[in-house]
Amino acid sequence: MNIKLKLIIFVFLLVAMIVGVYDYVFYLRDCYTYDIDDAWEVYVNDEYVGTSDNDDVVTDLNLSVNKGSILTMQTVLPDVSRELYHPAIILKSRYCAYLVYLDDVLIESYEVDKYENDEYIGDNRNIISLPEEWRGKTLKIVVYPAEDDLSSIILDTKLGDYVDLERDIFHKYANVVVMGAFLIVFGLLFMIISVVFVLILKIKEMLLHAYASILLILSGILIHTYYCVNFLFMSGEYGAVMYYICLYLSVSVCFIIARKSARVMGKWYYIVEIFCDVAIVLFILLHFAGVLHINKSYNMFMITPVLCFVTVVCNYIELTRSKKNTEYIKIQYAGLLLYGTFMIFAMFLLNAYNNHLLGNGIYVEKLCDNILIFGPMLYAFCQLYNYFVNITNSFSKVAEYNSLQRVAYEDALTELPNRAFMDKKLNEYEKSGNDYCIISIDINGLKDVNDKFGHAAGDKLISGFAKELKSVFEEVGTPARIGGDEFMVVLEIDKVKEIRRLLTDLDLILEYKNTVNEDPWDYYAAAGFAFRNETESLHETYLLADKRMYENKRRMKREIEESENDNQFYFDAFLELEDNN
Amino acid sequence: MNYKRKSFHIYLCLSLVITLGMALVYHFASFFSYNYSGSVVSLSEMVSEERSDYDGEILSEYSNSSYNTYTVYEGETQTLYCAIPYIAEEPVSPTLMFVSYCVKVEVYYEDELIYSFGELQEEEGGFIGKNLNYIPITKDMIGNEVCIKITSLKRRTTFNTKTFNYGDMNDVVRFYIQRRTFAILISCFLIIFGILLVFIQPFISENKRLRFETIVYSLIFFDLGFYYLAYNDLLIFFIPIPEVITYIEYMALYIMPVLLHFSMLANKFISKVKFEYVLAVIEVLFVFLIFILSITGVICVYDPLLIFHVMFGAEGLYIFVKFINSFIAFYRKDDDIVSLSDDLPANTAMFGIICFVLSVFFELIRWNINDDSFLGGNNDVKGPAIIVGALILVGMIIASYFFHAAGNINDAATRKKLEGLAYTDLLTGISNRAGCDILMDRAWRHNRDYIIISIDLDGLKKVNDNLGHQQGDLMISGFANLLKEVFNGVKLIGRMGGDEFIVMIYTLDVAWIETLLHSLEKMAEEENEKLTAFKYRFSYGFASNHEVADKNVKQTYMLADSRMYRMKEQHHKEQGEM
Repeated sequence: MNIKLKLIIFVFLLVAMIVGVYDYVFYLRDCYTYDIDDAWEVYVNDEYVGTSDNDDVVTDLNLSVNKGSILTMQTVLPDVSRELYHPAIILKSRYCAYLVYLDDVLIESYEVDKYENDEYIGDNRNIISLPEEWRGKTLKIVVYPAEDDLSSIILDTKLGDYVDLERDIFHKYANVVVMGAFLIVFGLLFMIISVVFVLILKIKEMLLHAYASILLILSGILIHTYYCVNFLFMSGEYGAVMYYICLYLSVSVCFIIARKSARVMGKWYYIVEIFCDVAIVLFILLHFAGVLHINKSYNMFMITPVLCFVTVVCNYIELTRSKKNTEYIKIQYAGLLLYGTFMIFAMFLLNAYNNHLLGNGIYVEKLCDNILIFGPMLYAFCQLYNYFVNITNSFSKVAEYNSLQRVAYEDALTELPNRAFMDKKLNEYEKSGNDYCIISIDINGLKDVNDKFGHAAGDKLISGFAKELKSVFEEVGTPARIGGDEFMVVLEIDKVKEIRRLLTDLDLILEYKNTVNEDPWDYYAAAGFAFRNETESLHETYLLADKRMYENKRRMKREIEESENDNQFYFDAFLELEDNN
Repeated sequence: MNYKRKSFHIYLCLSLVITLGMALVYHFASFFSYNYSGSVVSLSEMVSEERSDYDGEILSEYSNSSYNTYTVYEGETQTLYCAIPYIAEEPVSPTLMFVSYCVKVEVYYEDELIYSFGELQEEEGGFIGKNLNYIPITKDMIGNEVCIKITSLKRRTTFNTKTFNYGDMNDVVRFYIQRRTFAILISCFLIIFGILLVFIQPFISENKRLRFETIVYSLIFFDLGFYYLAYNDLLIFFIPIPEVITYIEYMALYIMPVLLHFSMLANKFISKVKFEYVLAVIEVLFVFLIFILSITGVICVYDPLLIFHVMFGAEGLYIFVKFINSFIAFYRKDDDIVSLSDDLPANTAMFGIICFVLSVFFELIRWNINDDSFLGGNNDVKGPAIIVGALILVGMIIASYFFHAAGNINDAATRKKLEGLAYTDLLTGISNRAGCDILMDRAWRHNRDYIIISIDLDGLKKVNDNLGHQQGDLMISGFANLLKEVFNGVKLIGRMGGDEFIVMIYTLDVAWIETLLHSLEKMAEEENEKLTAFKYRFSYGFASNHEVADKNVKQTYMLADSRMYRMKEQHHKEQGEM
C-alpha cells in the first residue's frame, strides 16, 4: 500500500480516536450553560436599530459597524432555575473594546485604554464574573469597534456557573489544547535534537528537520490562538496578533522547506519566494508601525499561501517524475503538500463557517472546531516517520560512502593510506604551492623473508613495520604504503626540522622491536628524503628521495656485512681462546 | 565515524540544552500571563486552627498559626479559621479557592454551612477524590472569619495552605491555571507523543524486541503525561470527575516502577537474570490487584501508597545501579566487543532512564524535605525536575532510534556491498589479495584439484619510476584485462600485490594450461606492437596441488611462485645479454 495513504489513514484514525474517546468517555456531567440569545436590543450611536435573537447582532441585523461608532446591545439575563454559585458570562469579542454593565453598574471594561490610544485590539475570549444579585437584571454591552467593516463583534455569549463555563471550554476545545501543546513542545524538542545532530554528527538533512520543527511550533501557536484557547493558560491579549504572525510566517517557512528539500525549478521559484517573503515581512512591519492592522492585510496575504501551494505542487510533480530523489525528500514534500492542502481547505471552510454559509449543525461545528488540527498533526507524523525511517537511511549512506572511501584509499594489510590516497594528497600539496618533504622508506630484506618463511611471514613483517611507522609519523605527517615493501611519508615544511630526529626514532623503535620480539627475522628499513624545492617536478622529488634511500640501503647493507664480519672476527677470536684453553 | 565518542557528546549536549531551555522557559513562562498583583491574595496565615477527633473532642488548638502544610490523621478533623481580607480591587464575584486531597470539606460562616464537598461520597462508601474547591464569598463575609473543616475519612493526609487563594472568581482561576502553563504544555506533549509512538510502530521495524522496547517507552510517556497532569491538579479541567482523576493519578503512579522495570528488561545491553522476569510478573499482578481491590471498594486507591514508596525506592535504586553499571561498562569495553548497532541505542536509552530516575529521586527528596523554594520560580508547577528528566528521556529515545537504524543499516546492507568491494582490487576489478586467499582456501577445503599459475609483470618498477604512477597503473590494468580475456571463466584471477598476479583453474590438464599461457604471450605481443610507452613482459610458473605434500594450497602457490622466479631470472639474464 502506498505509504502516503497509510500515513493519512493513520493520522485520521489517531485524531478520531482521541476525539472520540475523550468526547464519549468523559462526557460532561452536571454541566449547565445557557446561551444568551433572546431579544438583544441593539443601538448604534444611541439610535435604536432593531432587536435580534442572536448574540451575533451585526450579522443578524446586517449592520455596518465602523470604527468610531458605538454599538450598544442589551438584554435581560435569562431566568435560570438552578442556583449559580459563581454566576458568570463568557463571550468572544473580535477587534473591539467593550464595557459590560449590569443594570447600569459597570462590571467589566475590556481594552478601552487601547481603543482610546488607537492601538490594535484582537480576538479574545473573556469570562466575566457577575455579582451575587444578578437575577432579572439587564446585561448591557457597549462595544467600541476598533476596525472598519466588521462582520461580527460579539459571539458565543453564554451564562452559567463559572466552573461550568470553564469546563465547557476545556471540554469543547480539549483536542485543540492538547494537540496544540503537543505541536509546540514537540517542535521545540525536535529543533533542539536536530540542531545537536547537525552540530555533532554533521548530518545536513537534520537541518531540514529544524525548519520543519519551526513550522510545527508556528502551527501549534496558530491553532491555540485561532480558537482563542490561549486565554486559558496565558494572557489572551496578544492572541490575535500572534495568530496572524504565525500564519504569515508559516508560509515563509513552507517556502524555505520546499526550497531546501528539493532541487528547485528555476529562477521563477526564487522570484515567487522573494515576492512572498517581502510581502509577509511588509505586512508584519506595517502592523507594528501602526499603518495597516494585520487583520486588514489578511485578504492580500491569502495570495501567498496559494502561490506557495502552487509552487509546491509544481515541484512535487517534477519530483515524482524524476527518479533521482530519495524517499526522504518525497515524504517531506508529501507532508508539506498535505499540510498545505489541509490548511488552505481549513481556511476556506472556517471562512465559510464564520460567514454562516454552512449552517450550525452539530457535525459542522465539530468539524470546524477540529479542522485546523489535521494538517499540522499530519505534518508532525510525516516528520516522525521521515526521521525514524528515512533520515537514518540517508545517514547510513554517508557512512557507507565513508567506508567505501576507506576501502579505496586504504591499504588493507597495514590500514595505512595507499598510493591512490597519496597521489591525491600530493596533488593537494602541489596545488597549495608550499614546500614539503617526501620521505621514501623501504623495508630491508622482505624478499628474503618471503622466500625463507613464506608470504604470511612477509605480511607480518610489513604490518609490523607499518605499525611502528604509523606510531612515529602519524601525528606529524602522512605515512602511506605505496607498494610491496615501499612506504612513503609526506611532511609539511614546518615539521622538517624534526625529520632526522623522527628517522632516528624509527630506527630506535625498530631496534627495540628486534630485541623484544620472537620473530626469526629483523626489522630494518632504509629511508631517504627530498624537498619539493630541490627539484623541478613532483616526480623528480620522489625519484630523488628514492635515490637517497637506495644509497642509504647500500650503506646499511655494507655496515651490516661489516658488523657481521666483525662478529665473525670476534667469534673466531673466541674460538681461538677456547682452543687455547 | 566514532559513534561511541560522539554519542557521549550528544548525551551531554542534549541534556544540557534541554535542562537549560526548560529552566529558562520555566522562569519566564509568567511573561505571557496577566498581572494579578493585588487582585489575588494567598491566604496562608490562619487566624486560628484546631484539631479534633471523630467525636468532636478537641486535641490541640493554636492561634495565629502560619504553617503551610497541615497533616490530618484518619478520623480527625482539622478546623481552620481564616479571615477574608479586604483587597485593593474589589472582586465582583469573590471566591476562596483551594485544592483538597481526598478529604471531606465543609465551610461554615456564622455556623451556617455555605459549601461542602464529599458528603455524597461519604454516604456511598468513603472514597473521596482530589478536588478544586471554589467557595463563594458574599459581601458580608469580607473582613470576617470563615471556618473550614477538613475531615479525613480513610487515611492520613496533608494539605498545603499555599493553594488557598482569594479574589475574583475569574482572577483566581486564571491565576491558578496560568501558573501551571508549563505543566499543561508538557504533559499534553507526553500523552500525544506516547500515542504517536505506538501509532508509528507499523512503519518502523520488523524487530520484535525493538517494538517491545518502543511500546514500553510510549507507555511510560503516556503514563507520565497523565500522572503529571493529575499531580499538578490540572486533569480536573479536562476530566471534571474528582474520583476518576484520583484513580488516574494513583494508578499512573503505581504503574510507573513496573514500566521502568520493563524498560530494563527490554534493554538489550543490560544482562538480566531470571529473577527479574519473575519480579516483573509479580509487579504487574500487584498493580492489577490494587486496581481490582480499589475498584471493588475493598481498599482505597491511595491506601497502598506507603508500600508503593518502598517499592519504588527499592526498584528505582536497583534499576539505577544496574543502569549506571551497564552505562559505565559500555564505555569501558573495547569497540570490537560492543556492537554499535544494538548496544549504542540501548545505551542511549539507558542514559535517558538514568536521567529520568535521577530527576524522580531529586523530586522525592525535595518533596520529603518540603523545600519549595529551590527551583520554585514564579510557578506553582509541582515536580519541575521530573519534566526535565522526562524530556531528556524523550530526546534519548529519539536519538536511540537514530543510532539503532544507522547502525543496523550500516551493519547489514553495507556489509554485503563492502564485502564485494573488500575482496576486489579497485584498479583492475579482479580479486585482490584477500579475495584470492578466500577462494584458494575454499578450493582446498572442498578438496578440488587445481592448477595455480603465478604471473609476475616485469619492469613495473621501472615504468613507475620513469614514467610515473599513472603509466604504471595503466600497465597493471591493461595486463589484468589481458588475463581476463585469456582466462575467461576460470575460478580465480587475482592480483596478489603490486606486480604479482595469480590464476587458479579447476583442472589438472597441463597441456591446456600451456596453450592458454601461449595465447597470453601471443596476445601480449600483439598489444606490445601497439604500445609505445611500455611493453608487457611477464614471467610465469604453474603447479598443481598434486605436486606438493598433503595438497596444501599455500605450498602449491609457493611452488608456482618459485618456478615463476626461475623464469624471471632467465629473463633477466637474457636482458643482460642483450
